[in-house]
Amino acid sequence: MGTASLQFLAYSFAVILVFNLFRSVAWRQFVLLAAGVGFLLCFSQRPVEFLPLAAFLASGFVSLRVLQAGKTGAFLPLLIVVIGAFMWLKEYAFIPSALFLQHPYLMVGLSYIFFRILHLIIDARYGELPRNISLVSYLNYTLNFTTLVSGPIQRYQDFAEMHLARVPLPLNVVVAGQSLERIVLGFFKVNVLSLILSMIQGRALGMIGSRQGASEQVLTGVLIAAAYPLYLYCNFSGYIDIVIGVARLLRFALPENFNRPFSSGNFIDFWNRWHITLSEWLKTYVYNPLLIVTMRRWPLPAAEPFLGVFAFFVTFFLVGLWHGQNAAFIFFGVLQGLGVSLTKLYQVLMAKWIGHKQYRELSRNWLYNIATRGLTFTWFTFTLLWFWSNWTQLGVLARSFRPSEIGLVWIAIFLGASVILALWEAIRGWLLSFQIAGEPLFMSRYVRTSFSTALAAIALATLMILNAPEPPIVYKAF
Amino acid sequence: MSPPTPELPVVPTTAVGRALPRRDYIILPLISLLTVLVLLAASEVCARIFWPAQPANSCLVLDAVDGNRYKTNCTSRSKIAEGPWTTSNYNECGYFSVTSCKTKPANAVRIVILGSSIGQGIRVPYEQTFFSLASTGLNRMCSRSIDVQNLCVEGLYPIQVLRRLGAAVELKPDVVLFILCPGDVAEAEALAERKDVPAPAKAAPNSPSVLVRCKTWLKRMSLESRAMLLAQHFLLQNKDVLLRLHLAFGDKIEQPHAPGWQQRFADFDRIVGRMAGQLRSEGVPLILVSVPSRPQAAMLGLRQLPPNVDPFAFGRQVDMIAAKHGAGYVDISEVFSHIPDSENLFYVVDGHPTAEGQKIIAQYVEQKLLDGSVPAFSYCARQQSPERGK
Repeated sequence: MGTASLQFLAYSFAVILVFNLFRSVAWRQFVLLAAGVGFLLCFSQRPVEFLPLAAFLASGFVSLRVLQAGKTGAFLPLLIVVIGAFMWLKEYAFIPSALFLQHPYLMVGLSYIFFRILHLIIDARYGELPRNISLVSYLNYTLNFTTLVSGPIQRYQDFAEMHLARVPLPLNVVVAGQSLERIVLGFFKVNVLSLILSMIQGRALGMIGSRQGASEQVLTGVLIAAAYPLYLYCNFSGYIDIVIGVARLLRFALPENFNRPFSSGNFIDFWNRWHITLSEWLKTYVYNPLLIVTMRRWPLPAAEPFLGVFAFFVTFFLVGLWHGQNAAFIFFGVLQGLGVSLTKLYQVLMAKWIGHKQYRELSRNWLYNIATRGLTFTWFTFTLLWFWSNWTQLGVLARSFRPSEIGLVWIAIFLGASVILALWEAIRGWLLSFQIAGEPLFMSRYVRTSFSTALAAIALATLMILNAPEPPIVYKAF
Repeated sequence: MSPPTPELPVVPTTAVGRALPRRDYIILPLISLLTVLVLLAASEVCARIFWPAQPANSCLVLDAVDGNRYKTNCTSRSKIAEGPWTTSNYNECGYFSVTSCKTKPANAVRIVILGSSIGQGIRVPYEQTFFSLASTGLNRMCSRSIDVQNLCVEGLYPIQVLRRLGAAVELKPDVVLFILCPGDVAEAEALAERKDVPAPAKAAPNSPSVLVRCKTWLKRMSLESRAMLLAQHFLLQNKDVLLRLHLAFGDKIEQPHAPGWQQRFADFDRIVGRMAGQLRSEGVPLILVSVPSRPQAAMLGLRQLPPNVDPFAFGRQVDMIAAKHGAGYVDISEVFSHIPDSENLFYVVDGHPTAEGQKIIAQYVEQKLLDGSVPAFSYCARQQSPERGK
């Protein structure tokens, strides 16, 4: 059952209906747990395939209980065991393959379960969790069917605050309408936009090797490279829209994971707006501790900004590394780390050279903003080459283009992104400038109702006509 | 890092506590309905702009009793949404031919083609029709001029084809090809002799109810809608959907034949018997060519089919009928079964063979004419056989 499928929506609405029959905490816990288990059963019915996941969950729960019992000395060994178990189950390339389990097993959502368990262990160590988390609450948090496949990564404290509250979040016709809007938007993004974009990229890849003129060849290169970030955005943020909508109907609010990432003026800002919960998680559990440790080790005020640059590199290198188990993803991590840390370094040096005030003024310059937005998109597009392909495929791609064509492809992407994103921002600003009763006209419920109906109709028509399975959620693989 | 802000201002949190005004319980559903109607209208307009069509043939004269015919010396230009513009010229006899029907050119081999739209090579330009391609090929190989008189007419039933046999014989053909597809024998009235023409049905005393009228209007709209046609076009490109719909609702030929099909094959057998007999007395060979339907073609290459469903059944039955009456036979189903995804050789919704499909039909018709069974081509056949054997 794909998370953007009609089956998933039907399943979710059935759960929503049962969940809202009674308001007691026990009922809500029971229904959510049953829904999580039921959802997992969609992926496999063979008990043996569940065993590794069950063992991983059990190790997390035991670790949590040990640390909550005050045995803080076990923190580091437990942390190492959980991280090691995760890498072993995910079959990281540096582990000898002979050590891997030889039978197939369920890995769906393992990376996201890993983040939740790590968060629980670390927070338990520092006493930041509520006392005595029950097994049901633990399982509901780790196996919540709305966030199981690809997040978003929610803190336990936020989850428990809503899910275990005696008075749950209100659910009225306005909330229901807004949640449905969100689901429709996500459904459209995944089933129409991401499908179209993936077809565009697929066709462009199909043109590789065919005899084309130089301009067609450059266009093909642009489509291959630039269609993917847009596809990934529609695919992932569409999934997030769906689960946020579903979760709200289950009376809990999931954190936002995207905030118009392609409007970012630099790569640090980009990661504040793209997969927000992942970068927030890493900020809390990697960046901050690392910065504190290094600053203690080298307590020089002059070194502080550069330690930040280093901490940024390590943090976002890990972001990349988390995505995959092979050398391509290590390089993807290096590029993410470089992107963020060089941006930070640039900010530090510019502030030093031209002064904070001038640098702030420069950052407000419209032409500078257009260029940095285009550059951010171009860099992200470039890094994604190691995300959707491997070294062999990249070799084939590189051999299919002349060096001058490759250069032109990236220039075209930079210029095109700068202009298109600037136009997009301008149009968006213009549309939002029409106000009625202090609210933008295009955000009124009447316009939104019409917009959502249109999206739903187009998405359903597309599904019916194409009669193909919905595109897979890319992040399901992680 | 700054704290995340919600991506979409679409869902303002301030509105959560607000109650929905009562009027909105009516206005919002109406807006949704209106949006759907606007979308339907817009998609229809776009479909008509980007997929123009003019399927009606202005030369066609509809005649339910004696069968449709074409006006003499007439030219029509038509197009279906899925295909190119085609120009059709009808000669002084109303036959779809570029040559005159009056006098047979000296030293020419005359081929007469009988059947319905499938035999007319409808929906593709004349020079891409199977008979035009076949005559060009034969002309090249046999160094003799080939004159094709195509008597096929859209919607002509086999029983009406039989009535045109006299006209065909008058043309002094060297060979007669009868092209048919399962659709041609799918209706009982296409095959049964009708002595009395039923009087037109009297108007019902009471006008139909609003519901019935709405239903009829909706049905007509959906049939005439270009957007609906496009939706079907994309939907039916999917082989699974095509087969699922065909097996659920189509007139599939099962083994053993259902009573309806048994009767139709028996009627068809009588028609072919009479045609073969009359042509034999004139010394003109008859060749039957059966072309599969698109769903049938989709099934030809499949290894697993529902029990009793046999896409080759129609071709085999026609083969038996042809053999029984001493007629030649070309089974295009057999040919298409060796071509992967042969359903792509047909227009998706319209169902007639495309130019690619016509090309393949032409090859096998040509081959059949040169196999020695047609005296007019026997000289050419002898010339060809050693070359083919190489």
